Amino acid sequence: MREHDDLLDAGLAPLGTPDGEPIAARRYRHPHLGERPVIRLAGQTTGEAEDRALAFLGFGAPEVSAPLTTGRVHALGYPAWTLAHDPANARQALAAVTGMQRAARIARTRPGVAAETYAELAAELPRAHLPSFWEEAGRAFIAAAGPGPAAVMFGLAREAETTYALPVDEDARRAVFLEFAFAGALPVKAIAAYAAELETRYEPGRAYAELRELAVRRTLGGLPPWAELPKQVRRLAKAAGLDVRAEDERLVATLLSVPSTRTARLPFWKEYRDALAAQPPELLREVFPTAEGVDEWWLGLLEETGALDGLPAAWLTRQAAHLKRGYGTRGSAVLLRTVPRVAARLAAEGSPCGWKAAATRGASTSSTPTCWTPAWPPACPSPIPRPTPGSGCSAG
Amino acid sequence: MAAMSGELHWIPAEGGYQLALDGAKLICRNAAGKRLRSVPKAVKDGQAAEDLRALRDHLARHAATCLATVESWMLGALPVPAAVIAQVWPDPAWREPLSGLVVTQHPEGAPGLLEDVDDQGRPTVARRDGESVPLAPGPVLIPHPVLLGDLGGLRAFAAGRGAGQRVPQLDREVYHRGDGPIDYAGGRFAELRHATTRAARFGFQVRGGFAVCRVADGGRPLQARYWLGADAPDAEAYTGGLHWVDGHERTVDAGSLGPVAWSEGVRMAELIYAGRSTGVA
Repeated sequence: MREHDDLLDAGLAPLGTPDGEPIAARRYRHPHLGERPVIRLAGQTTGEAEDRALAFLGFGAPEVSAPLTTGRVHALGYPAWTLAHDPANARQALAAVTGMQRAARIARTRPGVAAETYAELAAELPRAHLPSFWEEAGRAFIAAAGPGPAAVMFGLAREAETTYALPVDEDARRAVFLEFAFAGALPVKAIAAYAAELETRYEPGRAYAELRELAVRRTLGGLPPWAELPKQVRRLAKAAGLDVRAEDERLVATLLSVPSTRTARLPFWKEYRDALAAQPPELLREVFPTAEGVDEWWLGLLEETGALDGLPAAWLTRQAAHLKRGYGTRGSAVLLRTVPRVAARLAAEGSPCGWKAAATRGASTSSTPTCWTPAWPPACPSPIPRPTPGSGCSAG
Repeated sequence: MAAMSGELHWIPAEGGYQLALDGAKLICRNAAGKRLRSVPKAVKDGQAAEDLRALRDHLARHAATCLATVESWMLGALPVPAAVIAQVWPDPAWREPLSGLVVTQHPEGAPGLLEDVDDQGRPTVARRDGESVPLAPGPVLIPHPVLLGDLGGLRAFAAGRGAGQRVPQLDREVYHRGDGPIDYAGGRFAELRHATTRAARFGFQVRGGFAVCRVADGGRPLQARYWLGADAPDAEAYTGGLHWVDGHERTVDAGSLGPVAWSEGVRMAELIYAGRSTGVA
């Protein structure tokens, strides 16, 4: 039995489904298009905004079908937000649609003029509308491949909230933050500003919880944790009187379970060194971080925490392949130290692996000792690279 | 965007000229009705041309939205009321991606090709026995090809009727688990934007550094994700692995995936990986 949630999201739930609104087909005609209609599926809330947007392009009023299905009430975007939250002032919001269309149209070619147009429109709107209005302006710049102005618009939305002390629906605001972040429109600077705003708006416990939630969701959505995350989160945890060390470890455990954490930059890893060292060795061995310059530091951490003791042969093969990824990584002194320690056991187990490649790839002749167990492994399975000539280690 | 019913609708422009849209192209004729090879600058910069371009761009976005919506109906295994199909049919932006699709009204029902809407407002399908029959009121399913039996027979049938598909269904690349190892990591792109543009061109959303494909498998909403990178658009990028997440964005064990999620994830990675830069870095 399919959940109605999916169907509501897709606007295809049966008529009468609760928590939604009826969706109808709106058929528009345009003098330049002859008989060809343009048909949109929309609910009542967005339908009227759609009519305005199309009227700007010269379409006539639509012929609206009987309700066909049920869909989610979309309060996202402006003026849809007003129709859901401030219907008494909907007229003012709808009056802004034409100007917003005009600005969106030139957002790519003349971003400065577009931004001025938005500012003129904003001056005429009720204050409570401004956060939603500026977010919508930001979306126009995202669509026009202008992440810079989009971030500015996002900032203006937040500024309006602070300046006029507007009430904030934190879940909705977080959703917009993530929407902009996933579109590549929020620089790390904007995260710092957001964290600072959380700190002034809420009591410390709530501020910490909100920033942590944001960090986890952003990572779940696919963006690597930012470099300053540890410091920012830790500061709020401290202000909230929490056990900072324990909170660090809890957050690190959560983040390590998310694939995009692998691509975090070096400062993130270094800042969380202690919290990482407290994680189970099996978990750490599976991370394989990818940042530039992280490899030797990471292997050092694994060595120190004992994660390299008793490691399986297959892991060395994976590590070898990992070091081979595209950034011209150097060979690893830590692995050179580790392999002799585990070689006897692995040889006894008869496991083939790519340890030589892992240990010696790219290492200079002087730093590479002679091969330890020339008879083992019998062969390195493809695609593990053979040591390059001149690496000081003959190929098995 | 062959969505203008083939007819040209001329509108008056500056200096006695007339303008029309021919597909996505702005064309011009003079007062005597002679087609010009290019649009004169004064006309091109005028209000009439600007209005037509705005209309054209809007129609292109609308058509892209309709196409993506129809594809999401297939990938999400969403039941679409026959009345919805009938209502949107007159708009070519909807009709083109819908027509020629294989649909059923029951998971076990006989498939047919969507071909028209009859004078009573019912969508009609061509059945394999050659008959054209109206759909009953109620939900219509657009099955993913991996779930269709006798794909070869259906392809031959569709080809015989000259029915093309704007949303690839019968000719969609299908991948089965066990076809071979899947490793799409390490694909190099000289600039990240080459990868993201390629993903967008094939209709994939790019979200937070991943190319994303939403599917439903056995009623469970899933997302396939293929890492492209989240650095500067002009920076060199290496693709990461392909993985799947559930509705809560938690990683799903690939062993538990159904055939649609598997096939679509691999298809996405395959399409993007194929465009990687070759040659020396």
